[in-house]
Amino acid sequence: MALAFRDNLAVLVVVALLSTAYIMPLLTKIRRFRVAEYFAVAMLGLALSGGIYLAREILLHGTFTYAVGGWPAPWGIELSLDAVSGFFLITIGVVATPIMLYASVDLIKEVGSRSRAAWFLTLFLLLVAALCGLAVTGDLFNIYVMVEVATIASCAIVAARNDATSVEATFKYLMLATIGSGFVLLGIGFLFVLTGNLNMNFIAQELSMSWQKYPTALWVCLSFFMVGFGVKSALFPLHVWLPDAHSTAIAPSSAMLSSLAIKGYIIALLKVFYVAVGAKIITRLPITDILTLLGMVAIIAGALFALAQDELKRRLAFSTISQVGYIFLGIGLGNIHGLTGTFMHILSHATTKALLFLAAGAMIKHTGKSRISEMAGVGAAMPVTVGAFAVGSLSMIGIPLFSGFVSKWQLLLGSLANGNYLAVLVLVGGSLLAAAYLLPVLRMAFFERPLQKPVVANVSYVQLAALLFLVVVIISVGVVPDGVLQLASEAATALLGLEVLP
Amino acid sequence: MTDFVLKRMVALVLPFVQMLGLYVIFHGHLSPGGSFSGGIITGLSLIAFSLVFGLERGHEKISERLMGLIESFGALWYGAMGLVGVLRGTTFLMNKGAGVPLGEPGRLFSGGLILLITLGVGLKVASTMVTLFNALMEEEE
Amino acid sequence: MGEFWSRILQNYPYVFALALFAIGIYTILTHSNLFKKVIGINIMEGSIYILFIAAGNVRGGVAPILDMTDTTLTYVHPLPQALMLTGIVVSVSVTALSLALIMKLYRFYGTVDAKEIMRIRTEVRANGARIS
Repeated sequence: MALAFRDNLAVLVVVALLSTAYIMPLLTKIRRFRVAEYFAVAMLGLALSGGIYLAREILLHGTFTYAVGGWPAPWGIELSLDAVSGFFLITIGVVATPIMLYASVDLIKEVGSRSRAAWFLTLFLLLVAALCGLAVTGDLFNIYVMVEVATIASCAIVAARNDATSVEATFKYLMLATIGSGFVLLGIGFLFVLTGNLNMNFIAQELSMSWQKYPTALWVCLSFFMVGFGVKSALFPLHVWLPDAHSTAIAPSSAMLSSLAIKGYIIALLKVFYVAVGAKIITRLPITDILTLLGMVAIIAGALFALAQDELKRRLAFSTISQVGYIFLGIGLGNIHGLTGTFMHILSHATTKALLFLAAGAMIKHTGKSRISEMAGVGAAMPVTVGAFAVGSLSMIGIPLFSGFVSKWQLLLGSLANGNYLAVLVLVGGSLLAAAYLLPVLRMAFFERPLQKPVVANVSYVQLAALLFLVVVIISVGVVPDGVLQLASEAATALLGLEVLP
Repeated sequence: MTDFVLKRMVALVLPFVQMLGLYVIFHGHLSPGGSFSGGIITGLSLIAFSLVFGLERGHEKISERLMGLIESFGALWYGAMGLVGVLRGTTFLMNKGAGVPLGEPGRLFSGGLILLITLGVGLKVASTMVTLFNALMEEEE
Repeated sequence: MGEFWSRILQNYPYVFALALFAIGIYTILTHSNLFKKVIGINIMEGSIYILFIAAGNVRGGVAPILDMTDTTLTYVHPLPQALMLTGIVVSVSVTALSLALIMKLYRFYGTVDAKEIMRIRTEVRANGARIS
């Protein structure tokens, strides 16, 4: 049988990124380093366009599956392409491409040597490929492998700077992430023992018939998944590795980890909970209430910790913990608005946090100051960069016309639909706290009189282009959210197993 | 290290270890083992050489540059073998359906693409092991 | 209660696996020697291999190599074994990465003890200097 182009596209995106990752060491040996970097950017751009094309096909023609190697589902590995995959592929492309573009300017100087920079490119692309794999796969063990590839690659790009603090942070991250993957693998083992399958759709069929025979085993297995993915995606009490790892890495690494790597594990959690186990079972178990509660605690606690930090990158890292809380709150709500909000927040936090970390990286690099209290007058020295930072801040707070507003609005609707007024309060309070920890940076940068006259810093045009690309994405999602919102609500409908609205 | 017995023994044993590694790689589709186990055995033989005769002699046999090339080649080879199916109009990693002759079950040259894929992965595993060992050894200085 | 214990006895590999898992995590979290943490990781992953292999076991089954001449053989489930081979590959890479990181840490701090590293770091931070 002849297959259409779109059927092979999903696997081609992953394979192309993996191959590009391994071409990098060869290419940097025989050509100039710039060539390799632009090749990587071009491949990421191609992956983005592939993702957009796939999402469009899924919206037009519905979901489809792809049997790798021609072996059908219970025997072979199956990729299942639904709106969730399309949405996450687009998110990955939109965020990873500008980060790579930003990194291309002075990568060799940042990581020390040419060969280290080549390996950084390899690991970066491996991370992106693993995240794409997480987006498209329909197989539990495949999820484990992709999660491991992503974990090891992200550990390595934290250590890329090769100084004492970042290596120490990496070690801590690696230990906790490995415990996390141990829990995930144990959970997969439990699901395999319970159902005899690793394909998520088959597990769902099996469980829907037989889960009442062993509710305790299922409950234990789900808590393994929750702890495992919770450690990896820095859900509040399990977040201890994140501030060190994200604040000591170089700017592109921090941006990549904070915006995308964490989201990959959240997508995996969503797939396990809502596809493998199924919305009908999951909403009946108390696990969703626990997720809602942890999400609310994370929103407030993360924001309070962020307020206490004076180092700019640490403040942003704690802000990530707070924003991950929003995503888990949406997962816990378990209704259509909540999950739409979760997906929208995955996109808007990914773009916004990438923008904030990249802009902060440029600010720290050109002024040599990493503390907020020293940043007086930075706004006059580098107006475009700090302007981009301002756009990111406003979006993070949730001001209308920026993408953060769209996602928080959906989460608000979801909380109201569940009658959870505490969650409404927490959402509003989280936004106010976000304003409290982000606006002082802007006040310091723009309105505080500097001690000496600021020197105008010339940020490279390529880096400015990367920042502006993210700004345009944030504003256009905020102003015309229709298309993305439709895709997100389609993804939520697919997860909840509801009929697609005409 | 100047241990005469150790050096002679390693020189005697190494060819057999390497043969075993290659045997395991080549019989991956027929018997237990395969690319990972075989690659590890082959890689360990090279590591044992470097351990006994010193890193410099090890580098003389196979340079680090060549190791890096083999490593990238192994991964790319897997992707290329997978693309055979796509180019023939079927799915990724498709074997029989893509028109690859399978041969007679139980013979060495059977299983179509599987043998070729295991070969690439075995090379990749072996070279990765050696690279890891070299990296860890050199950091110490 | 008797039925409970007999079921536990019948499924003893799973009990072993979970006990080992707990031991592994305990080792990672409580020992301050970094090498012992890595050993803890390997114990933890080993316990999961036991769980999977036990899940695929069939009493009286033989290794899943197809024997064309004998059709009466019962084979154990080959899938968990293949999966655990992948798991072993993953744990090898995690171990290698963590050993490399420990070596770097030793070069920076001169010790492989987590508490000692923490102490040096706070001292250096109090002095306001950077560790080279």
